[in-house]
Order: sequence, then structure tokens, then C-alpha cells
Amino acid sequence: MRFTIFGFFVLLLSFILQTTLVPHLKIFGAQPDLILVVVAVYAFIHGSAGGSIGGFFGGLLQDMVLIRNMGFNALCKTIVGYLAGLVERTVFAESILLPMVAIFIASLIHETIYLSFSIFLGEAISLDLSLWRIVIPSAIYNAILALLIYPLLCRISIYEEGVPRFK
Amino acid sequence: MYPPRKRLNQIILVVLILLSIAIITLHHKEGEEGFLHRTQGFVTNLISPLQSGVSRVVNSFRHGWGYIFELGQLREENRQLRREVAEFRRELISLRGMERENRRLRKLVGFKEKLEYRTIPAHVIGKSPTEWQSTIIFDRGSADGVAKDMPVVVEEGLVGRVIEVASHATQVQLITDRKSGVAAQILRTGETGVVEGQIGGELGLQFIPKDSSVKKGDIIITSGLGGVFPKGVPIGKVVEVKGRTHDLYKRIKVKSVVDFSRLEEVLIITDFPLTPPFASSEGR
Repeated sequence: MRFTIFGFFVLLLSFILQTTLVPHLKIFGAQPDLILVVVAVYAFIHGSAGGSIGGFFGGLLQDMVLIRNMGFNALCKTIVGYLAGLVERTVFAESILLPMVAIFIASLIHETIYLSFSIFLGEAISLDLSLWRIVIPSAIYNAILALLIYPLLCRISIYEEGVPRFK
Repeated sequence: MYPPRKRLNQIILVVLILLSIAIITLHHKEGEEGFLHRTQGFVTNLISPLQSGVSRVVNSFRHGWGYIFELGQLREENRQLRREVAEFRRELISLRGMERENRRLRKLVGFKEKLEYRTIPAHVIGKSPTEWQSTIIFDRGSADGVAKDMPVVVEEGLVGRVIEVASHATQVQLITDRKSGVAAQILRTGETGVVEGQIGGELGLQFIPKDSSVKKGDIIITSGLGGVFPKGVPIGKVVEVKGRTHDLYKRIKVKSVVDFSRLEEVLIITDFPLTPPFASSEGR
């Protein structure tokens, strides 16, 4: 189980970039979720406990600047962080492609939980629009973002402990 | 029996899920002055200098990039032309509105001149970290005289309304947010409806009857009926009109006159007299 001060600063930096830089990187209206990618990669490296704690704090930071549904992101990212941690260090030494696929799936799970809770709380959301405008484009974008984030966090973690290298 | 580490992970997960649910519940139940709302304001204040710094760097990079491709002079010229086009458009809209108003109200005795409002300029320092909500954070707060529900505009048209105020930062709900509703009017026909935000940053004009003559290209302005936004502020242009046989109302898509992705500076109207009973229903 690991959730270090370093992890918290990475999340804080991701959050600042998410609210300042990331909105300018929209492609066809899709925006990546940098915090989600960081949480998932952190979970791949440090396991379920680190992933869920990181997810909780990362999501909570996001919730701090949202006008409604405070706690939604904390909840979704806690679950995704935990699930991502279940595959801790099992397949990711093989190639960079696998973390990308894992991030894609993690994003789909995250958005599905978010959408389900919104609908559960009575929000009228068009499933069709949500799927094609937010859920799938963001998952693709997040997977591409993993190309940068995964090697970066892996390299940093190598200094902390032995983490398998991607090829 | 699970190994101890796996069990510990599961306990952490359950505790954090319960904590998240507690936060969701408390945030829903508590009022604007509640602990979590105040914490949000505190955190927004705390991070706004960081966001402001990073935004400045990001914007200078964006501008630098623009200079490379557009050349410095072209950029300034472009901005000047945009300003002029916006000015002419506003003038045209205003003239058309006055013409129509004259026709409709010539039998009435007198009419009020359009009110002019006092405004505070504000810079964008942050944007919504998720696509599920459309909000922007600005560098002005209650210390500068900003208060909840104040309308926010740019020279092209309507941006949104103030929804959270910290002492040195303000969060604005954009009209594209799917929980936003603006009392609107079709300039050409005078029909009134509500412009609602939709997923993907689009706008929809609701409650326009099926027999309306609304068409593509029609200009939509604020009607002023909700009491949240001043009358006559441009919202957007109709880009699509649909209607099925069993529908009561037309399905109308509107494109905002404001390019929210390029928004850097706005004006917050500080002396617009809000009418509280209607204010909450219009802005939702």
C-alpha cells in the first residue's frame, strides 16, 4: 500500500493542468481527464490501496471546483483506482500498448459509473449524446495520454523502488 | 480467507466509498453556507493564484504559437476586425429589435430606453475539470463586488451567470452547461422560449410551438423574462430546426455567438436588478 506525498503533489499538479491547460487541448470537443489517467497509472504501479486513496483525493480535488454533485468524482475515481490496482504490475512490463488499453477500459468504467449515479440521482441525461460526445472520445483521448503519463510515472517510480520497465 | 493485504485494500475501498457517499449526501442537503460549500470556496481561493499563474503561461504559449502562424500584425488586425464585426452585429441586432419593437408598441405610450449597466472585467483562470459540467473560474470575487447570480457577458453576447463566489475568484455557469436555462426570444418572430445547455457544448431552444416560422439563421437574444439576464443580449443563431408530427414543440439547435474555447476576458454585470422569485428558475 502506497500513497506518498509525492503522489499527492502529482495529483495537485494534474488538477492545476486539468483546469488550465487541458481545456485548450480539446479535439472534436473531447477533453482528456488527466487526473483519471494519473490515478490509473499510479494504481498500476502501486496497487489497489494506493490507487483508491489517490483516486479519492484526485476526485475530491476535481469536485472542489464543480458546481454540483460534489463527491461524484471522488467516488468514481476511488472505484477505478481500486480496480486498476488489481492488475498491478502483472502485464505492463510487456509493452506500452497494454496500459493504453487498460486506461481506455478504466475511462469507460469511470464515465459509466458517473453517468449511472447521475441518472440514479434523477438527472435527465441523453445516453446517446453522452456516449458519443463524452464517454468514448474521452476514453480514446485518455488512452493516448497514457502514452506520455505511463512512461513518465514509471521512470519516476523506478527511483523509489523496482518497477518493471515498458519496452 | 483473503490474505491480509487484499483484505486491507478492500477495507480502504469500502471506507472511501462510504466517505464519498457521505460527501455527496451532505453537499446535497446543506445550504450555500454549509461546511462543504465553504470548503469549496476556500479551496478555490487557495488554488486561484496557482491557476492564474499557469493560465498566464499557457496563454502566452498559445499566443506565441499564434504569432508563429499568423504573424503578430495579422493577429492584432484580426482582433480589431472581430471587435468591429461584433460591434456592427450588436448594432444590427439592436436596430432590428428596435424596428420590431416600434411596430409592436407604437400604440403604447412611451417606452423605456435600454438600461446601461455597470460592469467589472474579469480574466479566465480556470475551466471545468470535467466535461459533465460547463463552468469557468475567473479572477474576480466578492472583494471586487461580485455576487451570486450576476450575469456575465462579452462583446459578442451572453456567457453565463455567477454561481459560486469566493473572495478573489468566481465560478460562472456557462449557458452551455446542461443545467443552465436562459429565457430567450427569437429576434425575427418575437416568440419566447428557453435556451438550454446540452452535452457537447451545444444549445437547444425549447418551448417554441410547432407552427412557429423559426428558421435556420434566426438570431436568438435574451428575453429578460426570467429576471436573471438583461433583455436583448445576443445568445446565438439557429443552426437546425426539426419537428416530428407528434411533437408539441419544435426541436431547435442554436450555436452560441460566443466561442467559449477562446474566452479570455469577460464582463460581469454588477448592477442588474435580479428578481429573486424568477431568478432561481431561469438559471436553475
